[in-house]
Amino acid sequence: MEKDLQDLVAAWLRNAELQPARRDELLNRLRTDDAFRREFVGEIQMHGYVRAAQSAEPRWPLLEEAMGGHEDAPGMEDSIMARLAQMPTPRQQRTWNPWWAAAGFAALVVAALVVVRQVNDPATPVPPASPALGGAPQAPAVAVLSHVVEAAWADGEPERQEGAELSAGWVRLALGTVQIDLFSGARLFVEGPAQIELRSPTEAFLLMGKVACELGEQARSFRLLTPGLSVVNQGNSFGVKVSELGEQEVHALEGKVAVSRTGELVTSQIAAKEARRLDDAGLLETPFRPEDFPAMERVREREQKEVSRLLAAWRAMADDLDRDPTTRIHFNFEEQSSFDAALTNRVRGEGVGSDGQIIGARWAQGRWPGKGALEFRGRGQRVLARLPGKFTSLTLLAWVRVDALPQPVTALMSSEELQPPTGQEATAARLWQWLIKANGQLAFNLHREGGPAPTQWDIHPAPALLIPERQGQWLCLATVLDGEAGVLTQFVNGLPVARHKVPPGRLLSLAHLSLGNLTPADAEARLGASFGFFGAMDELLVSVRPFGAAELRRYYEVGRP
Amino acid sequence: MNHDIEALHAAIDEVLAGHRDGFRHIVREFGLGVRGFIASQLYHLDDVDDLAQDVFLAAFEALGSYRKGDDFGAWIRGIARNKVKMYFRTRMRRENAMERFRSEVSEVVEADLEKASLAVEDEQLARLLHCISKLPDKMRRIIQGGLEGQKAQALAEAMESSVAVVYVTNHRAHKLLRECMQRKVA
Repeated sequence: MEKDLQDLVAAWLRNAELQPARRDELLNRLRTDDAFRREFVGEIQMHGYVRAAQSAEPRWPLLEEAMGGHEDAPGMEDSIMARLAQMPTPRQQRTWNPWWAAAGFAALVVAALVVVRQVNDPATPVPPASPALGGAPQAPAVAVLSHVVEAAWADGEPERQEGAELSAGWVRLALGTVQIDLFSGARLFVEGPAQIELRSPTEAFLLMGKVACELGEQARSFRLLTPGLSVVNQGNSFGVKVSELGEQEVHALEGKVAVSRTGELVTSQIAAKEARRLDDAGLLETPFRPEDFPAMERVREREQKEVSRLLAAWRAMADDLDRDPTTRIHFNFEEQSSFDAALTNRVRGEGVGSDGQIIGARWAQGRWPGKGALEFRGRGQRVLARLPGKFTSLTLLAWVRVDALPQPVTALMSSEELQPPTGQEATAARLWQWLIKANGQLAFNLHREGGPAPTQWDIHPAPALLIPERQGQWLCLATVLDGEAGVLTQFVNGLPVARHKVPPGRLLSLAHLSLGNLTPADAEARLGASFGFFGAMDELLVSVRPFGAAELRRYYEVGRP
Repeated sequence: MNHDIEALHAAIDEVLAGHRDGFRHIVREFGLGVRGFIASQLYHLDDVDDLAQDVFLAAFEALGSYRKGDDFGAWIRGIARNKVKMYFRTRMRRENAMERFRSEVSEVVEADLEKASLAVEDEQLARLLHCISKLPDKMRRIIQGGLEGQKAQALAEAMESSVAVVYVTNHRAHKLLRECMQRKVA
């Protein structure tokens, strides 16, 4: 065994630092002497196998056995299997629903734990740590998620929506394509599976996946890093891919691109419509394949197709809801003229004909292009509806876009009486209010039995999840009152976020409904109180049966934009 | 590697169909190879096991992207290689000179290590423990003792020898092990 090899192996095994000069000498020999390098590789390879074979629990007993010892025992395998139990099942092809469903299930488990806590302590709801509900960016934003097409986020990632601000940090995409617009002007089309770290408005690190970068003049300083490369913008567009096996390619999609290997100062130019792949020998030519990368036109095309598909899927499910005999009101805001002053109730059974009367609110675009919505701008604006009957259970579901919460309380919907109920009348059928508080809490208020109307309410708040960062996004809000079980559950985006015990078997009034506003009591009116909703609504459902969590989750998955 | 391809594909199909228990087969078949591959580059054994576990979890997540017919061992080593790179990348941020050195060496030997890994049949690996048990006493003692940290010095003292002799003996033991593993397969 020659001296250089012995020194290098000794340093390697002992993890001991070498003198800089000796270190450089050995590294240089390793780089230039093939036989020496192979000899060293043989040493560390066998050393690695020997260590692995002898060190881990499952292997020690095998060694014992080989030498006349004992049986195997659990170890890494069981540890891996235990962790796999919490992961979604991998899929062969790019599908969207199963991933969402799996991610949703994981989020649901988290949320369910929260709900358990809520039941035990209904007065102090705790915000869930569910990534599915998203959260405020932890650091200043560096980019905006401009478009999301057929995307599923990797396990553990928040379910980001279009328009969300992105802070510096990792973005892990399992499937689909997203467009990230960095504040430097750089535009990234990322195709999943991908892992990319946004480091600043002018720098990103692609660990794995495909990215097409479109860079205008204003994004001149942008650079994209990979584990082995640094690609610098020269005012054009380029594509970079890093495979799971670490293979890396750069394609100059438009104009030339400057590339350097990590740690090297020498920069290479890749001419337009040429490509290079990273190899041990350096950057080698490889066929130019622009079709490998997501392009704006194709993303838009797929986006349109996805919108059509999502809209069709939602319409099918909405149609099922119309046929559900327990549905009393279903405003889907579809097929109506922008001059319509009535909101058509789509139910086929009881409740048919009980259309809403639009007061002040204006027609606008809903979750998807081609889908209608009503936009509310606060004071006075509302939709009135009437629904005969009294019920013990209730499900309220609305797709809303909250634009602002400028006052202490904003009304989503409430049941009202033209004359305030008193005495027996008040206890016969309870009024209720579905509200959002200024701090972002969804709340359901039940008129207190026997209390002097109209000021005594039992308030059932959810955690403050409708935070400013979520304003401007379409949200699926639901409240389910199971009158038989005496449980009231609040849902945000298909996830249960708060649960409260309520007296079972009490009747609820639905006679006069006000959507998007609330008539203030005399004293409140004198103080100038306003409860008007600032935002848009493009679906509202009132059912007299308690919807299950899975049902609401499914409805959210199909209905989310 | 020369694993039972049919059994491997059956296990993959099973996992993709939602029966994740099929992944046990993959862990069993490739566990030692992956751990050995990582252990050849990392110093701390705890890190080796953590990283190996991460590799299998990543492989599970990405199993749908594996194309049947490709060398699964090479595929999973590709994941392992990236994990090792990431490991060094994060450690290098701590300005640890030795980690930088290991990272540089790993990068230089990457291609050769992959070639060497491809050349090792799984039957050979399965024979490794048996081959260790057949080594001459002195060599087995060194191999079983491991030479990490100050162990070479301790072994040299215990064996009333020099550190240089311990390394040379270890080197010879590796050669004998390789021959033994190949002989058994042949």
